Amino acid sequence: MSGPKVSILEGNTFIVSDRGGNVSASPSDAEGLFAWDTRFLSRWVLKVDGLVPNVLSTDDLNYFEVQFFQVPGTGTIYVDSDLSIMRKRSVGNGFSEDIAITNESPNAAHLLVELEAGADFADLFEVKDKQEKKGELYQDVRDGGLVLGYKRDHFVRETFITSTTRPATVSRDGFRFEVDIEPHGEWHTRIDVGISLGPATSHAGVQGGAERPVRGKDLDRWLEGSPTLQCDWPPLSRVYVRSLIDLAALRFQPHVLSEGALPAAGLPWFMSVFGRDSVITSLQALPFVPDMAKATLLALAAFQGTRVDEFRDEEPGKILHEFRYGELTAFEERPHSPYYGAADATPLFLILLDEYARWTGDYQLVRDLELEARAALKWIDDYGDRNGDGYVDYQRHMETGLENQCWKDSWNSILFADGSNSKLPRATCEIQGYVYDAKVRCARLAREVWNDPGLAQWLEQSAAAFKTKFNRDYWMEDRGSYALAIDGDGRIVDSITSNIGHLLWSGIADEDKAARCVELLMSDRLFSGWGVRTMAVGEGGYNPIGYHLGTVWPHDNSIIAWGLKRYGYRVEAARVGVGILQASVFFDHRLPEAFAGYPRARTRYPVEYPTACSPQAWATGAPLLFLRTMLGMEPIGQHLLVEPKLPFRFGSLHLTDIPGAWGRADAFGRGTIDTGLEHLDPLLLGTTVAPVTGPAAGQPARSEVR
Amino acid sequence: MPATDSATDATVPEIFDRLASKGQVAPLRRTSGAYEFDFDGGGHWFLLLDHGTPSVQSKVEHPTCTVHCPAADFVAIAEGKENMITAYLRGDLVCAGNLAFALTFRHLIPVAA
Repeated sequence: MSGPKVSILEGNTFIVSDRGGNVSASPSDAEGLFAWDTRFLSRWVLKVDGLVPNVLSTDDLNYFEVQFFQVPGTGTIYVDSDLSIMRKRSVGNGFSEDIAITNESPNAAHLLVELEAGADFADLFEVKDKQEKKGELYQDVRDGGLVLGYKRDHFVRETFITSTTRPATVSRDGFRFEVDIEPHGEWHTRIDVGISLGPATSHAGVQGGAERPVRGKDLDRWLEGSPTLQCDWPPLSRVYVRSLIDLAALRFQPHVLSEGALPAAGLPWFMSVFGRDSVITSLQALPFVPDMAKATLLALAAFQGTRVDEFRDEEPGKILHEFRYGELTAFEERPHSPYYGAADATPLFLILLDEYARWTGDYQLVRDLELEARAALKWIDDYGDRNGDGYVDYQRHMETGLENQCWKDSWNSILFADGSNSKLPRATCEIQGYVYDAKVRCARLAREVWNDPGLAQWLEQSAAAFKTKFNRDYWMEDRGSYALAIDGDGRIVDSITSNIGHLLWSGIADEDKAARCVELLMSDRLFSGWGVRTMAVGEGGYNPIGYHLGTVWPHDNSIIAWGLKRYGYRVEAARVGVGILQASVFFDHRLPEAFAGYPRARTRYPVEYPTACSPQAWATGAPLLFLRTMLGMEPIGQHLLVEPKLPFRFGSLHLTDIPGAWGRADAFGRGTIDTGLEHLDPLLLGTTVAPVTGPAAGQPARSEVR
Repeated sequence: MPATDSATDATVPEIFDRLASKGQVAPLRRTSGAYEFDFDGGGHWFLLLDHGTPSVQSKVEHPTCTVHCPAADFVAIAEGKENMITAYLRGDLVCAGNLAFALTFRHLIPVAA
């Protein structure tokens, strides 16, 4: 099905429908009711007198509820009806749907209302990869409700649908209601859709969308507990609120963990725990909602690898990549129970642990996770380097694993400049940066928290030697850049990519080499005008709509900007931030996972990437990290240091009630920087642009501790 | 899924003896609760976990979770030949109560399987 889609979600349960609320998914469409990585409904179509109603409007009330306004279909484009239909849907453990039909005419109405229901119980991987089922589908009318089921050995998944309205005619493919509505009267029913793992014994208490008031209050609390932003540049205020709400929506409590809510990676494909995505999102959101980082650290620690398991690419001390619950995982046709195929998640876990403690002052967690942190450090040195060249690399053990185990995880992301593919095992450059940073940070933790000066000294020496070796082996003087990777044949993978920005964030780049990287990052080859491309124009593999070969990823850019700031390139950091934030306007202030890398001067708007996830956690977190970077917020012991370098378009910016080791603090700044992109503001859609009088005098940085 | 080799597998009592003498299991050092195991084909066991140290009990009034499965499947899991998480997802093993706690049992099984 094409056209705009409407998604509501709660935890890892979500519904994707068309704008009318209907679902009629083909096997490869990501539409339907999904939970536990399984599609519990693939057909859900409301008809009145045999026709699908016309859509008037759709109202996203909240991330977990939506309302559809419709009138009965007439078969023409003209709408002039005395009847109106309202469908209000709320997701929980399944969902509930209130259907109301009002009759505004002076005459009674007689209608046939049908709700067609069906389920293919596809594993999300089957939807993504278009695979066939191996078990048996069944439908049954039970206890006045409709049961849709799937069975393969003891693996049973069931959907149970009930209506509050009797009599309804229930059949194996849905409900039929013969409806009489008085003049100026209303007919109403409520449909509950429950889901079940295993054969359901009783669905009497199923209320698919229950606990709505609780969730509404929870969202209110979440927003009230987050810092408040006031800014003269409307797009920033809007994207900030959008990001906070989407982060709230993406929080979920995994069924297999009791450690609190952590961010899922993205809708619809990645509503699950991902080591890398959860860590990056937690880092981005740390100054705003630090509890998410704690939940992430505890959850990833709970599932830290303990054994060598080649099917799952598990090794002792390794942090997981992805956890799934669907049929293919259950029958071990996929290794995601959990799967450990990520070479960067382990050092990123250590980086988050240190950054979390620095920001919040919660060093008890560093003490609690000492054992897991030491195991992670040991993984880096014992298992991370497969071919003994001193660098952390990756190579899957089995075909079911991932070929590329870095953030650019598509199969063809690590290419030579001539466009040819590199050999495994691959040691991508940004992973080495993370390893360096993790060791430097853990040296501090070892000395100051774990009381182990010997380990601290060893880590410092190891990190320093590693930095020297890296700057020697990865630097390409002729290209003025670090190599993307060193491959299994020991060859330099020489494409120019955005990965060099991550090296700035980690601090592994020598100062003189960093300056050359900044030139490249801000050149037309990498900077599209909206953001830094994943691969530079002119490289053999470059493709502006290649997943990791030229698209622009907001999260990538947020890390790059953070890196630019680390090396003192504040104007460049602001330029990257402004470009991406300007792009957000074209996506209704919800940044997608990625967008096309066409030059801004050519397209004038950021071109959507066809299958990008939205909302996606680390795209959602990107504006938050841009804010931190541009405000220059850094924790210094019990204090928050604020050194703003804001684009002058921002005008006056106040961020208040920032949580941290200091309790709550406020940050103020005034725009002083010309990023060279502000003049493009009037071209943005739907923005009210304040008059610009030119760069204003900088307001002194300050932070207030209350 | 690995098949169980009944000729070399331990018995259920042997497994619980082994668990009871394990001492503290480091990854579970902050975890306490009680598992109830109810095996098809007979056998009912309670395993208390006190800050990561397991002990076998004759009865626990309010177990944190109840795990129900064929004894042979439990043996396969406890011997490290079967993955507890996929067994749960397949429906070969049923958990009532706190699922997250039930799955911590995977830390009590041998690493080199």
